[in-house]
Amino acid sequence: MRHSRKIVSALAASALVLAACSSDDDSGGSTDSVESASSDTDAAGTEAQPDDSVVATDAPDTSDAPDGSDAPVETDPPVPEVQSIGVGRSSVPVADDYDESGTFTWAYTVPVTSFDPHRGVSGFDQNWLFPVYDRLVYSSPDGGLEPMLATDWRIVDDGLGVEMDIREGVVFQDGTPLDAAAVKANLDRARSDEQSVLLPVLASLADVEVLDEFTVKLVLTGGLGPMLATLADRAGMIISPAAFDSPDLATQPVGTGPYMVEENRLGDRVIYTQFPDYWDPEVQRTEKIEFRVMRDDQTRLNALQANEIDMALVRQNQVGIAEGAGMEILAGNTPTFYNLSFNAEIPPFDDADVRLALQHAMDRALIAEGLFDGLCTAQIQHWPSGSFAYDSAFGSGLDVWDYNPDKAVELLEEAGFPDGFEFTVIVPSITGFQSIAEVLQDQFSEVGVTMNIRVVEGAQVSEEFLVAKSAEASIGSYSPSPDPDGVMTRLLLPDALGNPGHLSSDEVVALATEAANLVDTDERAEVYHELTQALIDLVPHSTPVCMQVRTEAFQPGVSGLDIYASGARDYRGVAVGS
Amino acid sequence: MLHYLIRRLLAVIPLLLIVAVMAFGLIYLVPGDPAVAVAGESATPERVEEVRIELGLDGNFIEQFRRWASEVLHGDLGTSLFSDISVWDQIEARLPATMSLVVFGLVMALIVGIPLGVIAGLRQGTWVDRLLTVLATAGIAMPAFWLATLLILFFAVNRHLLPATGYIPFSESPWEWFRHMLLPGLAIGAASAAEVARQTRSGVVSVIGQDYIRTSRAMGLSRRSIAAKHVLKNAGVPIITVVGLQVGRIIGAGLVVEQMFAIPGLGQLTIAAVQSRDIPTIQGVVLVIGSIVLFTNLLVDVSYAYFSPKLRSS
Repeated sequence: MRHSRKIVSALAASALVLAACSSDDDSGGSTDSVESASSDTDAAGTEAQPDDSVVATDAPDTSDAPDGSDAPVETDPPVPEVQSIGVGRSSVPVADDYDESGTFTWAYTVPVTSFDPHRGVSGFDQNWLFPVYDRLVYSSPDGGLEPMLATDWRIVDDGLGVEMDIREGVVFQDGTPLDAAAVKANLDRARSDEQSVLLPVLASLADVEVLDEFTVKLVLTGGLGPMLATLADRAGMIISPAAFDSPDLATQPVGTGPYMVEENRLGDRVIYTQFPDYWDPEVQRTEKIEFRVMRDDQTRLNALQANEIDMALVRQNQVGIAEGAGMEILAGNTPTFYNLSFNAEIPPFDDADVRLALQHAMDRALIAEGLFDGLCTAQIQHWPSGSFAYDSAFGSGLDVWDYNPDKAVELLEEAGFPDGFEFTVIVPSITGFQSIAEVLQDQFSEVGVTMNIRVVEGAQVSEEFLVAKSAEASIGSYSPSPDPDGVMTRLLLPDALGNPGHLSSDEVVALATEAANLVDTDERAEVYHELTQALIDLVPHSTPVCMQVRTEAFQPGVSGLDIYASGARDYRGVAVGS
Repeated sequence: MLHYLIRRLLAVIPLLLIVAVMAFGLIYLVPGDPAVAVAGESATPERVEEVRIELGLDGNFIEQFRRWASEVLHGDLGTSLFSDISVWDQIEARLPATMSLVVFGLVMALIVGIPLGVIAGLRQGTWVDRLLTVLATAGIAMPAFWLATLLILFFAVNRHLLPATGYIPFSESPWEWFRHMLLPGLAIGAASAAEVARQTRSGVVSVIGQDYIRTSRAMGLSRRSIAAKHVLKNAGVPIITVVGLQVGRIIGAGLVVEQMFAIPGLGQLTIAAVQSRDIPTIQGVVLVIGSIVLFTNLLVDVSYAYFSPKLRSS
């Protein structure tokens, strides 16, 4: 009897654990993405990792940069300090003995919502779009901007115009030749079509002029700095104009990329096959590519262990298991961070002392270590260490806003809250976010602040905090944007969507505007470093808890992999073992 | 008999209407405002109102429902809010995987559950009966996701005998379809087989004591013949009822099992749609699943006529 009771207890316990593990925490993560209407997904929480335990670095493999013959242009940012995060590798150079007839199979958490780059509403669609659509500009793994469909560009009209030379001899997958008119048609559609999700990121693009068959001029109202990086992402993907009105564009894309969609099984997998007329056959190292949808973390790990896929996103708690099963790990920092945000129009968050007190009450390092096994980088800067905007001299900033409950209490007393105060934070119903909320609740209670947690469905966070502006605070994640300017325009400037209380300062606005209008990356970097200090002085309404780290497991033999500083998952030039 | 069939068919109509109202009414249960979600965070109130009209969410409930129902009757379930793909196309793409699970689960329920139930019923009170009863109880108590985990670990991850994930359409390769469905089918069908076994056993036990069975024995009919022709047919009504109920159960359990095996079925579509508040897709899925369950029940009702002569004569 005693034995049977033990067995029943064990079964019940394992059932509970498995139920918890199988809960899908891949959704509703982003609360501040322009595409967050989909409440989509990924990241939730768990791609995080550390980086204070920095060890040796792997130089990113830049051999995959398209058309390596073209010299880097003046707008190329300096190669940032690529930091290993103590787990896996951030780059896997192409092996010599890869199988040209192989298939690379990758599993991801969420399916593509549309193969139309202008209309897909998920912030993660581009992962599925990269094989099919080349961009005007290529964002290399280290964040450098290199030629792709635009072979060269010149800044004109005092930074209010960019002339681009379009690559000659390129054809779309339907046989249509690429020319300047096609580029104009795409950019016009992306910046003016009613259903385009890219309107906000292309707001500063006033006009596109065709100068000759292979030259276009982009007329801007400002914001030149981020524009080129923007064109390295979805906004720069070029669709065959002949396919604009195709009812099948959402499922059967027509780009100029190295692979074409051979079969699209909705919600299951997309099978890509080589485009025979591709302009850069060097990067077509496999016969086929297959992207599969596996929402559940354990399912992806099972598929890896059963040798059914070559690579998949794994969570930090799975890294050890994957390594133990013979898998290798690709890992690196991403521009995505967990953040605690306040509505700075609602008291007491309009008081800088109160906001600062909570910064000192927050033990970021403990969260990064305790919740994420160290696989999340505790820092207060809004940019990842790989970004040119990151101020290496300033570092994580944990010594500036150090964990200091006594100081927090002092600041609260000065602000007129000697007995603390009470507020409610809304949190998406996702394990990663809720765990952070619970730890912060405990840490704030030590300084007398009672933080009530209200767990709501992912999209409701956006609605209450950003749209209705009724919530006092929220915990979420800031999803990556192709340029550091995205953090300002989407989160920190007074009219940013993610800033419901419109908190800012003249200095922050001036510096952000200056950084956005500069082209030279060194100059921009300097301004961003000044901006970091201005933000510290302001104590913004939204600050990072820690930067997420991406971890993917892959089978031995897979090569040609990189962690991209932009946060993109681009498998351009991937190869599989023979 | 014809009367009976017509009556059952007519009874389906109000039920379908109730399912449709409930599917449509889901809009009002979802937290938040779908028009705001679709219009985006930066949308002006005017844009939100435009989107509301585009989504057919303007006017009162009756007007909205009438408009929606009319479109559904014309075969238009709408378009997903988050992709340019029609709801029906999405459902159609996922229906084969879910129906494969249903078929596997039901076949397992029948070929495992019924023989075990008959054996236990015929040997009532023996150790065989007790063993099978314990197994059936365990089968019902065992959550599908737990059994699935064990099966994946044992057959796929550790021994690489069967696939851990994926779905291959029957039309592409019947053998691969079978291999890919075997583990999820077992995981999802075990509880159904156990349920059917229990019901079969109690049906057999209640029939076996009847006078006509004793008479059949006295007439020298073989044990097998008695079991097949007299016992099973007379115990058939409750058994077929339980089998019918399994369709809804399997589709429900599919929400979890499809995730675990990465099967692109209605369960995955439902979860994704709920997470993104994709109302037209949720409505479409609920309507289709509700209709499948209703028509299964109709089939079960019709099958009563085969098992029960009284119904046929009435």
